[in-house]
Amino acid sequence: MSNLPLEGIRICDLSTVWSGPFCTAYLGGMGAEVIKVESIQHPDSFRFGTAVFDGWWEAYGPWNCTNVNKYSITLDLNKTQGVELFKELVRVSDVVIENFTTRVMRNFNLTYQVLKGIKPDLIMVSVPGYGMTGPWQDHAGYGIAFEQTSGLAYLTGYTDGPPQNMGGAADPIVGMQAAFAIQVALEHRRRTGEGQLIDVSQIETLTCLLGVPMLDYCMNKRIWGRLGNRDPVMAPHGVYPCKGEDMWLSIAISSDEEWKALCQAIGNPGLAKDERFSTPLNRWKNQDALDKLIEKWTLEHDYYEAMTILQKARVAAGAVASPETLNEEPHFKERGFFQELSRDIVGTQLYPTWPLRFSETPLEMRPAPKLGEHNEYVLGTILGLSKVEIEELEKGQIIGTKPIGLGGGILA
Amino acid sequence: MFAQALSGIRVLDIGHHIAGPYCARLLADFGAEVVKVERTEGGDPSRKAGPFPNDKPDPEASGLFFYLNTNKLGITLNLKTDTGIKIFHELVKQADVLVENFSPSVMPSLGLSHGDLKAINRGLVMTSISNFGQSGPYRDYKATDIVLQSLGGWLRSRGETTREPVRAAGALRIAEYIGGIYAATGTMTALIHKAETGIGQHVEVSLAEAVSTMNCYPVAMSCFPRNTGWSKVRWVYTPSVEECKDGYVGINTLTGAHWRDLCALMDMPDWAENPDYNTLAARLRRRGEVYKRIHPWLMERTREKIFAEGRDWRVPVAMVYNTEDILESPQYQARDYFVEVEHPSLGKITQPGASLKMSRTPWQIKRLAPLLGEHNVEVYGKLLGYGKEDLVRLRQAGII
Repeated sequence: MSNLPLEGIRICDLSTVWSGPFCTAYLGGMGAEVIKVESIQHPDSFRFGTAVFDGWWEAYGPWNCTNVNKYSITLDLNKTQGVELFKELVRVSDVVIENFTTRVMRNFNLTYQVLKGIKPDLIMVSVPGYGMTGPWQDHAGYGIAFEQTSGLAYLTGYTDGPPQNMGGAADPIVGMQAAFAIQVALEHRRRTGEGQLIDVSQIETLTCLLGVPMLDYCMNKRIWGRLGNRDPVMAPHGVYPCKGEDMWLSIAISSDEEWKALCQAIGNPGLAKDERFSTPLNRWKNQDALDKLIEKWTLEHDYYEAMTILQKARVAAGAVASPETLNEEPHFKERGFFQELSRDIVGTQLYPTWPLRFSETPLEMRPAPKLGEHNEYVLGTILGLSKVEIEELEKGQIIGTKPIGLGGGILA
Repeated sequence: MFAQALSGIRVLDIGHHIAGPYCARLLADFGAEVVKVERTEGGDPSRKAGPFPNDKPDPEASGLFFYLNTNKLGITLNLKTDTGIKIFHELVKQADVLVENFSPSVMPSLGLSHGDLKAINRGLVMTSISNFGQSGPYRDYKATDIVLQSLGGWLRSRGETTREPVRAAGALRIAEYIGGIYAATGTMTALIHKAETGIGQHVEVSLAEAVSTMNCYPVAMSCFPRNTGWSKVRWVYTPSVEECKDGYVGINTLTGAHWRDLCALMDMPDWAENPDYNTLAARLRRRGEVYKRIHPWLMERTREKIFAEGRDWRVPVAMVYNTEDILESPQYQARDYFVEVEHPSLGKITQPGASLKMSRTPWQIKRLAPLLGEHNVEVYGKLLGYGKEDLVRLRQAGII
């Protein structure tokens, strides 16, 4: 059994909410020592999702899922002492990651220039919305905003409707891109001893997914828009209602062979001979009629039953599964995708793991730390502060374990 | 001249469509030597997908193939023949990474399972991306992007409560790109492990599971007691993406503070602390009224104006861009984001450049996507010592 690949790598994680923390949860699961740095004055705003009760800041589900595999300290970076301690930590760390606008680290006087002076081979990663340079560098935003500007929202929605939010996927996409970049930088450092600064602009990462529409615009002046659940080429293609309320099945037919199989499977082999639907182009042109015929069949079936029938016939079909009960979905259940972890305040719960599996070095899953839980370990054991010094810091509210500022609640 | 972080790492890319090729492309962008291995007849199916210049199909001018396979060398090889498999074994012996995204039964059926290849190259990192993963009840299920979004528990959360849920990113096939990013990240981890130990491993990516990680909130909430008391199926916001004078803006009031600041910005002080409007749940119950109040204000202002005012009033506002907007955006231009290329078949095109900026080992574009078999001579010559006569013989036998 091998050691985990990133053992020995120490990461100072100032990032908040979802994108940066998602990245470091992965790196922590691969063995890196991720030290999440918050403050009792301004804890990670992702904690603010629950009603107020004792320990409320440890209870929010998404926060718990996103902050697995980390250690937690608090440091008030608005105080000189806090900043000095952070610098001491950077001196013995390999990576610093944050997802603020550039103004924030400038105000703390913790820019790459400063930190590089302390640790010359430091790998510093910033995950700002719009980049560390440029007209919008000090413009704050959230995942939904980046989906809107990067072009993704414009492609999402009903044919007869406005652009729709994708729902926040920007964060994990960018988080994994940052994890990719950090590892690339670690490889470079392994070869050369050199660190570097990495700027993962969220809108730029996302717009990289739109290379193909961009080419279509350059070549053909075509602007990709919204087509609901339809496809430019495939038909039938869409989401069909099944038995029960708000139950759906997606179907995607990409060949004549698959079309014939569908006709057989729904007990209407004659349909395969219908001129209106005899070629891909004909099917596409007559989708409205086609969809109605398929709907008649799906409405008579439970969505999983329908999927099973179609997949048996080698037709691409997918029950529109409920994320709220995904741990009971047959695939996710059998694959053991959700894992139980136990933790104070929230008890034993199921946590989503990763869509990545490694044959030699399986990803670890450790529950999220409590706020400031590792103040003593990091300040005492790693930085060598005495018990008295640590007590002084607590008295001065530079460090602590209970929030004293409430800030704003997320998801108002 | 900047160094490339991954130079000297050799990747065999037998991926097709999007997921495998995008993973390999990310590695190529930072210097890995990526050899794309295509089937002899027709090559990667993405060569048929387009878009094409003037919509005229041309396997050497497909936008999808072009975008996914920048920075790669291209060879052909017929893996349906014994000779082809033997040659492939020889290539694997000299590779650090193999990327594939076939259905899970394919590689073992060719004698190219991880077990088979590990035996000939102990240090090989084999990255396998598939719809559902290498195991599970749907292992051999057929799937496209919309099917993955469905079973991944992502589709259901999006759209109006009164009608069918709607897919993310339309025809983009985003699930496959997401899988590619995960695969590249996992491959890097395995490479770091290999550098330390000399041992490779099998990295497996499940696209449906990757999709599920896009939907953190309801998935996480499903595992925890419902701690916001907010039970919903479609994740709808209001305000949200809103029409304005010259297009759309996103008004993203995620917190109480944002809502109060929005009320100040839009001159609606009576709504700032009003429990009928100052939470999302309350506003959703009164969607029509909210729309009626904010719509006229929005229709009097352009995207740029609302964006600027949002910044001044600390309300998260974003302009909703389409492809044309992005290409014309001063923001993207100021960041030197685009790469301009004069391509023999595609013409003059502008592409997205770096997905991230690295100060010492920046993203680089070194070559355009290969023509089918373009580097047969170069790659087979360098790696396997094949001469021109060998290649002629192999071509005649349908091996390359």
